[in-house]
Amino acid sequence: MKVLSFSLRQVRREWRAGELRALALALAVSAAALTSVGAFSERVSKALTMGANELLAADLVIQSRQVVNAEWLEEARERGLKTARTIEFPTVAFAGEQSLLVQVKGVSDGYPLRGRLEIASELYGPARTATGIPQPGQAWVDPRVVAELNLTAGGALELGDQTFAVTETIALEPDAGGGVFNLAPRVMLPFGAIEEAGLLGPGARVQYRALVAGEPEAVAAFKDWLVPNLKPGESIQTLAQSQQQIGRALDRAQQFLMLAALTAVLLAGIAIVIAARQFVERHLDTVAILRCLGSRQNAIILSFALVLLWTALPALLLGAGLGYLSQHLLVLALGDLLPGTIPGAGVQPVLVAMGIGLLTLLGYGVPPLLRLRQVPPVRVLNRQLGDAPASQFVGDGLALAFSLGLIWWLSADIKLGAVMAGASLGAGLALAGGAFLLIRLARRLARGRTLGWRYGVANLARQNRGVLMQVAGLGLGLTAIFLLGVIQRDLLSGWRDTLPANAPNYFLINIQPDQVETVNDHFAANGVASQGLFPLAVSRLSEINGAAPDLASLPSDRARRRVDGNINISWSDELSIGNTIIRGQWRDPNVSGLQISLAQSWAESMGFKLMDELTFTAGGQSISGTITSIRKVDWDSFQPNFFIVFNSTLDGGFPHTYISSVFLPGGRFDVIADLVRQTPNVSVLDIGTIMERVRTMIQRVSLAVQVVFVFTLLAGVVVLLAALGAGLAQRQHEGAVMRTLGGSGRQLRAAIFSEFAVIGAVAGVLAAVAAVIAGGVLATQVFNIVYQPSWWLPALGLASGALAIGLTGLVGSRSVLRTPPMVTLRHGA
Amino acid sequence: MLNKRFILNAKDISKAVSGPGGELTILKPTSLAVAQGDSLAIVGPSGSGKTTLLGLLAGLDQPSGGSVELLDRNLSAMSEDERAALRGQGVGFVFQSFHLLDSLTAEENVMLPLELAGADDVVTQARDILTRVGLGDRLDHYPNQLSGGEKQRVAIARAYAGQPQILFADEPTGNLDSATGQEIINLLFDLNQQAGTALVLVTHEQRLADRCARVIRLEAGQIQSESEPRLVAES
Repeated sequence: MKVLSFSLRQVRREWRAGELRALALALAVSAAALTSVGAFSERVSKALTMGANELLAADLVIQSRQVVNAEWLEEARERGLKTARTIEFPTVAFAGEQSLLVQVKGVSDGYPLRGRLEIASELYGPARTATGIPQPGQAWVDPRVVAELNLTAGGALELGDQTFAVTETIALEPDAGGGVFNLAPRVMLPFGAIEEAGLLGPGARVQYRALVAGEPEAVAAFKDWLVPNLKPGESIQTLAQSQQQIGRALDRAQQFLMLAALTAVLLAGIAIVIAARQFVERHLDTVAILRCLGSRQNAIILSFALVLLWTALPALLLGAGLGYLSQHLLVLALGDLLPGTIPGAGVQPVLVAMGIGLLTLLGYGVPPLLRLRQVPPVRVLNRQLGDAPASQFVGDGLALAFSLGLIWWLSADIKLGAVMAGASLGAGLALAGGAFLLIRLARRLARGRTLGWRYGVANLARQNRGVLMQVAGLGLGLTAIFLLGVIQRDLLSGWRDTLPANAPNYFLINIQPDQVETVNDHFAANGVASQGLFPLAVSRLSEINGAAPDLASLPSDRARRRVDGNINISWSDELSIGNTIIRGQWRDPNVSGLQISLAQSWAESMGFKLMDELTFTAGGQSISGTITSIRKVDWDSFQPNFFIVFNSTLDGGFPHTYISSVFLPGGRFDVIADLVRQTPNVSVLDIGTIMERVRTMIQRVSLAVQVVFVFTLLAGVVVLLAALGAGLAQRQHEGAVMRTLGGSGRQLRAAIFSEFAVIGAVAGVLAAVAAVIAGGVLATQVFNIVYQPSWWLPALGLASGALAIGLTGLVGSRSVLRTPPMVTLRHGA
Repeated sequence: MLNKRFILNAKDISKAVSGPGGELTILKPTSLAVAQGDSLAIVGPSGSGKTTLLGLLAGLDQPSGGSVELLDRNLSAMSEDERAALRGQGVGFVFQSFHLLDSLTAEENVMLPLELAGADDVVTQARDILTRVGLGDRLDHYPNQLSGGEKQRVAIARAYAGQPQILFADEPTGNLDSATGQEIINLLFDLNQQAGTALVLVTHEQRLADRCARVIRLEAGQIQSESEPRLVAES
């Protein structure tokens, strides 16, 4: 037997029988899902890495709340590196009677070291690359500043004591912060003008940056030299650390997307198993005859495996192509969330998807073929022989092991993988149990109803393995679809709900103790509900349990940096909203002296535990307290929250300022502007803009997930088709017999619908329960989102499963209705 | 003959199918009639068109030309659902490979045509007829728990359950050994006589053809001879 040519001829012959088509469709969908997600992820990470250089406007940035040590810049220049400096802070700009919260940025000569700054002389006019920085007395501004303050070309902008002429608008700023934290509109000034303008009062929220760029080796060497020398409060920003906010959100998006793609692959696997088994069932006789005619066992298996391979290759190519095209949709969905131009994807995702596709075929399609080894030539005389179910278990075992491995690998996250594997296994077992019960109960269920119901449901009792496979296959498909639905609905809305509509949209920072009354009065007079004023003391951790901190004994570099730098502490008589005590108590009656409550994340990263004593020092004064509680803090609440809170007011003049947050509906910025006139040192942070960006991002990410969701749904449909195909020949035969005996089309349809509706109801209800449980585990263990289980989902699962599978069964069994009764004379049972 | 009422009347029926080599005629224009209580055997070599003719006569297939009148209804003018209803009311079938539904017990298989026709008291009727064919103790058995002969008895019981006026049988003994085949032949003709049902059967077996009043021999889609079986037997 010439295996190669036989297998090629066989593909052509076999194509008409449904199994190879189902197999091809399943592989195409899986490859499309994997390619689109893979290519999308690759493009996003490329964009983030490449864009990051530009986003920093340098190769390396030293960042500090104080002026960056001049030595560092000197050292960099001595090493042949280019340097520049920036200073950034929010303030209020005035133009006549109008005011606007702006983000001022002072830049030194040479800025930007990487990327390009684009400016335009007219509002939204043609942009050109800037060859320098603003001249003294000039300001370049974001078009929003021009628009909102009604400025004309060369118009005057007041900042602090100085007036600046607006000469250019900024079209593109490389290190704008981009993405999410695109704060108040930019006003760019020459570096030297900042101090002259008297804008930097004590405690102003200023960010100093030193930019460094040059040959990669020189930059790396400089970094190695710099790190051990950094002073407290200084930090280095490199590519990896930039754009963390976008990175985190995209991480989550990619987790979602991978989950959807993984689901599609697993569904495709189920479809492949069903199709391959059916293929094998249909060829038991062929194999027996081939064996009789002298073919060797291995040659037969190989030729059938090749038939699957020839079917798979074009399907995978087609699927990967479709996936490659559709990833553009994903990128489009993200809109301007990604900075700059997004690089194209390479061929790697296509190759990976095709590789996984072939592995899927190997893992799911080939094990059923092993059964053909057991077909003895004597089957040509007795068809019962060679129907050995034992080898099915080997095949099932291999497919199961392969699924678990695939989940582990693709989810790239142990927890996510474990939840997926657990959900698949649990749902699979529950579904098998449900199918088993259904088969046992079918005869009882079938009694005494209408004719269609009786014959349809009685049919379930007989099919044993077929019903088991259909319930399990369809059920796993539905589980995946419901699970994605749960994720879409509950998890994304859970995430969205972390941003209430009336969350504070302005933070006020650096309010001095003697300004508290002014601020409170101002808000009261303007009818603004403030969230209250919270004390904030910038201090240093000077003692741990009565001794100076031993840096070596701290658990991490992060902990050491914290001890080295400034630490914000606060105090309050009551536990703040959004905080929950998880260990100890807010006020421990057995502890004398001051008591401290630590945020869980901070306590854990520092290695502190209850009853440890901490001493903080600021302005030459020290305070000590005992840790009596550990809190869980809801950081997403956009309320002022603190890592370290004393549970009673710290008297005795421990130096501190106050911060506050308010919600101002759109158009009420005048309240803030008036306040800033009275208290110019107060910094205003517009977090409404941040929240808006986060909201937009969540919406876009949801959209991207939906694009991939389509593939998952398609994969579910393929499973359904494969499962339908599995029993089709038998059903056609029985339909023809019923027709011959006088059955009408309506009676046949009722029987088919009943049979599939019952399968769908059982699969649907079990799948929904599995999805609700898996969704809960995913929400609490992987995505850290508050989860409200949809308990009505099982009811929906039952109804939608019955209806969808019942109707699909009807549509998929059209050929049963079309099968002429003459078949009963032509074919044996 | 003239006083007989014909319940099956085929006029010039033919069947052609299109194949890779163009149109292929399976059955050339053929006419025949079957009267109430009559028995007709269709014999002939493999591929001679016997099964095609049976299918056309029973309304399981549509002729390419000519017309079939079954139980006073013109089959060509009826929809598939109408033909099915007609079969359910007055026609019985016995097949070579039994065609029992595996998911149903012997009793339920016999009940099936009765239920499809909307009959009352189907359980009693089914039990009666199964007892008459000697399977009173096999009511709850599934087809895979029955022997070949028993399966064919169930099929015969199913065919007679609806008290058909005409019964079509396709090689009813083809899958059975000689002794069992003889039992089935006896059963078929006993019931046929008791009920006065007309019988049209396709067979290879001479002893089965011998039991019929008339025998038609088909060759290459054409009736070669039509004879009284007793004459065939005597010659």
